[in-house]
This record gives sequence, structure tokens and C-alpha cells, in this order.
Amino acid sequence: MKIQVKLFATLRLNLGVAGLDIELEQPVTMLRLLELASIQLESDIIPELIEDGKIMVGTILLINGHNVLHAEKLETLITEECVVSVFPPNGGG
Amino acid sequence: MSYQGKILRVNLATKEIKTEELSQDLAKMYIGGRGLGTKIFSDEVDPKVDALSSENKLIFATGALTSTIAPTGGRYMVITKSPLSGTIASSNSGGFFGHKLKSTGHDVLIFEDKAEIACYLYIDEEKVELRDATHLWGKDSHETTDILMEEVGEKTAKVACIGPSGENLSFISGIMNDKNRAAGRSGVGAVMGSKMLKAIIVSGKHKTIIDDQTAFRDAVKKKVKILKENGITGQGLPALGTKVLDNIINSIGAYPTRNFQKAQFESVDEVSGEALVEKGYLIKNVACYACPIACGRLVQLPQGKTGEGPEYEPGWAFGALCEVSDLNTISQANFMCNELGLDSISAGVTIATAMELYDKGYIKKEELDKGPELNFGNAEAILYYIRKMALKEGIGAKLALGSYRLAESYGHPEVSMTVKKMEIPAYDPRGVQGHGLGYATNNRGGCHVRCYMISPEVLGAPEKLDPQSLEGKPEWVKIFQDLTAVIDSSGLCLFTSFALGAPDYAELLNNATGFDYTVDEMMQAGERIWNLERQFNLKAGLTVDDDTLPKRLLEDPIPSGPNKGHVHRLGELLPHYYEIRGWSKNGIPSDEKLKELSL
Repeated sequence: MKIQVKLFATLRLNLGVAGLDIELEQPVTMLRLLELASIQLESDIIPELIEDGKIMVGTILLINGHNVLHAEKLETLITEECVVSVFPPNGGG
Repeated sequence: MSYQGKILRVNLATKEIKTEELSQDLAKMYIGGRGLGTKIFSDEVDPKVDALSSENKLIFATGALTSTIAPTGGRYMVITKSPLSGTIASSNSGGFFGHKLKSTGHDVLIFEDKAEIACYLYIDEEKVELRDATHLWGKDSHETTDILMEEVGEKTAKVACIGPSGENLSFISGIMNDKNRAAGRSGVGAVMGSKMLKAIIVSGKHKTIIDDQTAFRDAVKKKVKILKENGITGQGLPALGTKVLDNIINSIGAYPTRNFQKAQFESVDEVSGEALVEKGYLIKNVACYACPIACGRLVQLPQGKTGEGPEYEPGWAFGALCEVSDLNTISQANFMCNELGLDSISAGVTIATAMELYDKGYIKKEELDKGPELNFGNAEAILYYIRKMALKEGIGAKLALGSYRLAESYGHPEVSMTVKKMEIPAYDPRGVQGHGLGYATNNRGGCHVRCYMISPEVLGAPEKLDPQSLEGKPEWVKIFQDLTAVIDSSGLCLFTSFALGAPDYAELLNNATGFDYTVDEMMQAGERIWNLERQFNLKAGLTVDDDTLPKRLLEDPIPSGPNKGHVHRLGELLPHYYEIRGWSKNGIPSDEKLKELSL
């Protein structure tokens, strides 16, 4: 299955990449997906998003628009084709 | 004591100018800025007054921490009765004007009555003069500022003024300062225009005296460190400004599109904060006075014009809400609003309303007088009708009165996405339930900055709340409303609250003022301010029926995207909100609550 990963804000600007597709043979957790994305990007994006094993305040990780903080956080399983949106801490108004 | 201790009262009809002492008791009860200004205003002005009559007053109030080294301590508030909503209006702005206003030795300016001919007020440490402004009438905010700066000849002076839209009494006109900063909302520019007051120019070097310099300096250092180390205020906002929200709010399916008929915009990548950088428009970020965040955007467009913004809200209003995907046009629209003195949120929402009215055949083509068609997606129409709106030409006369009156004039007020006749900003309440309750109960109408529930419901600060859950939301809304009243009254920027909490504000206030607020007492001051505003609105004639959202948001489910099928569940939230506020079922503060708050 194909997972479309979209990168936003400073991640997108610093890496110069708006997103990537990841092919999965079996379900993975959100954390594993971010590890796979880092490998594919040849750049570790995890320190921008996660601190001490937890999603940083302000980081937004969405599966089809739904925040994983209201599911199983980094352990949320990605089981089917979807869009994963990745935002480092940001805000505005 | 971080107040100057002085109120300047200017009668524009008689030209009498008086200085009065600021009551320290009132300062402690209402902190400053929004709170103190509202107290003075509601003591002096009949809530039923016609907002554009000579009986209305116009107050500029600095905060307890304005013109100090407190992070973002440069803000001021404009308090008056709104011609747009009929509610208390208080409109907040940054830049450097607030700092310079307080540096003249005054905390508060009160304008009474109306001038016979256009005038401006000059204030420095030694003199206050009302001067002829007939040569400035008709000039835009940038021209006015440049002319006044040259006339006065003081490089550090700062100007607040209205543009043509305020002169023409547009109900959606703001007051501009430092050219591109705006006390934008509630139609405060029209009140200034009705008084024939074109501008205020301030120049002074009065230091703000801090009660405990050492403790204050230490506290400021700690707070700046927190702001710098926070991911939102230390990294996200400086890098991308508020427009980083385009993709966030669109991704969660709460990005109002096509006048709230959809909640996702397929062309968001063309108009987002990231696009502003990738297209090469962004030159650098800019900061207001004493601000370590620096979220402002200095932008240069392909044809060479430079300016500030667009921020998230106007970018959205002229973009997704009108289904326009041309970032160049959107940026130009924002520049035009700054120059013409229009509220860029209300202007965009009003044009989107006109587009829906046109789309549905309520506005006829012949009424456009050969102007561009008001089709969704027509970028040319945006720029054309902004100017018409500011100058009240042709159909612009209807647009200038805002979305609600425009839609009502065609017999279709349901097309207007407003609360208390003020245009709703860039978050669909159907996707963020607490934020929607904040809109419905807002004392100045459709406003996002009096209760920014997006912070917990979307961004996860200080903690992440499920945006569709109702549990605990009335309690959160009350806390956010009361704390925001404190922040606005302190003269700080709301963005500090992404990183700072109530104890941080209490520490800064106590060290600066010498007061000894506990956190509870400070929060109670915020609650007092909220209830005082509520009381004013009730006396002005607003009722429980005004605490609502447009029918579309309550009854029509979002058609697609992550929030597909959701409506806003206001009816389930409002009774409990009233209860925890200590208000009756009709939204009226109880005698016990008023006594508790010394109101």
C-alpha cells in the first residue's frame, strides 16, 4: 500500500521537499513511518517532531486529517492507504 | 508603578484638552488597556448611543506593561461602541505606536464629540495640540503617515490614522498605525472618521517606571527564554508567520472555503505560508516593539511592490473564502486594505458574501456597473471591489457596511457568516467545537482572538483537546476568555500565550506595577473585564439570541473532508457555559456574580 507523506512548514522549507510516497507491505506505527520517511529523505526528521519519546507540544501528525494524539499517538497503526501530514511545532492566529 | 498616571481628555468640538489623574484603584481592578479603557468608557457613555454620533467616545488605552521591556510590550487598545456590531468595541494593535503613546506621559487618550473640520492630534512630552488635517483628508494611511512624519520632523514619532474607508464611515474600517499595523476590527475607523479625527502623532521619551527593576528584569529574561525555546514562538512563528496555519487548518478540514460552503481548499498549496516563501515573496520577518517572536512578514511582490503580510486571516479571506488561488492578488488585496484602512478580515468575508449572493442570482450583473463579475475565484474582482468598498462607490456602498447588512439588503441574511454582525474569521466552527463556542459568546462578535481555542483544539498548546469533543469546552472557553482579557489589558501580544501561562503574566504584572495579584486575583480581573463588556452589550440591547452562529454552521453538515457530517453543537454547550459564568439561562450575569466581581 502507498502512503502519501506531506511535509509542511520548516520541514518542507529546510528539506526542499513537499512530500514523499512510502510503499508499505504491512501496517506500521506512526513512529516507524517517520523513521522510514527519514531514511528515504536521507535526513532524520524525528528530532524536529519528537522529544524524549513523546510528540512535542505543537507538533501535528495527521492521518487523513485526524490527529494521532486522539488515537494511539506514535503507536497509531497505519493499516491502509492514506495521507499523513507532518507539521513541526507551529502556530499563529 | 508601570503607569504614567495620566489620562488625556480631548474634546474635538470645543478643542478643550485636559489632563486627569489615573485612579490606582481602577488600574488595579482593570489592569490597563482593554480593561481600563472599557471601564472608563462604560462609565461615561450610554450603551444605547448611536456609534457614529457625537455622543460616542473613542478611547486609546495602553496596557500596564506597554512601553516596558516585557516581551511584546508595545500594544494598545481602541475602545468605543462599534457601528458594525452595536457592541462594545475594543480593537488591539501592535507595532510601535502604543509604546510611543505611553512615552508621551499618558496611559489613556479620550476623544469626545466631533470636530467641525478634519483635524489631527499631536502629542509630545510638553505639548498637546489639535491641528488642521484638511490637507490629509482623502489620503491613504501610508501617504498620511509620510506627510505627518515630514511635517513634524521627528524621526522617532509614530502615527495612527484612518484611511479613506474610515473617512467614508465604512463599518468595517480600522485604525492603522506604523502604516501596516491595524486596530482592525469592529469598525473603530468609522468612529474616528465620524469625529473628523484623521490621525494621532505621538513623540515622547517618558520612561515607564518599573516598581521592582531587578525582579522585573529577571522575570523578563526568564519569559523571553521560554518564548525562544518554545517550538511555536521560537521557531514556527519567526520562520513562517501566522500563514503556517493555511495548511494546518486545511489539513484538518476546518478551512472555510467558498463562503463556508466547504471546509477544504484544493488550491491551498498555491496560497499557503510555505508558498509565500517558495515563490520568493518573503524578504524577511519583522518584529513589533520588544517582541522576541517577530512573526511579521515583509513581502515583495513580482511587480516590485513591497509591504507587510498577508497574515493568515486576510490571506484566507481573500483566498480560500473567495476561492482565489493567486497569491500575488491576495497579497495586493492585503496591501490595499492597509492603505485604505479596511479591516482585511471583514473586507474579504464581505466580498465572499457578495460572491455567494451573485452566484445565487441575488446580486444582478447590471448592478455591478460594468465592474468584474463577482464569481468565486475571480481575482480581478477582489482588487476592484476593495477600492469600491473603501470609497463607497456603486455597489461598494453596500459592501462598506459589512457582510450582514449586505446580505440583509438582498433579503438573504443567512448568506452572511457573521456573529453579532461581525465577520467570522478563518476557522470553521463545525470542525472546532470550543472555538465555535468562543465565537458565539464573544463580546465583540465574530472574532478569533478573544478566545483562541485553536491553540488547544488544533495546535496542542498547552495540551491537546479533541476538537470534536464537547467535554470541558465551556470551562476552557471561560479560562481563555478571561486570560485573554488580562493579556490585552497588560499590553502584551496574545501570541505569548502559546508559551506563557497565567503565573508568568502575574509575575510580570506584579514586578512592574507593584501590585500583589495572586494568579486567582489576576484571573478574576479578566473575568471582571469580560462581565463588564457583557453588561455593556446587554444594556445596548443585545440578548441571548445574539449568542449564536450562522444557521449554516448549526444545521448544514460539512460536505466533505475530515470533518464531513459535522455541524456545530452550540445548543449542547451554551447552557453550561452560562452556568459556569454565573449567568442566568438568558445569559444575564447574576447579582451574586456582579457582587463577587465588584461590578
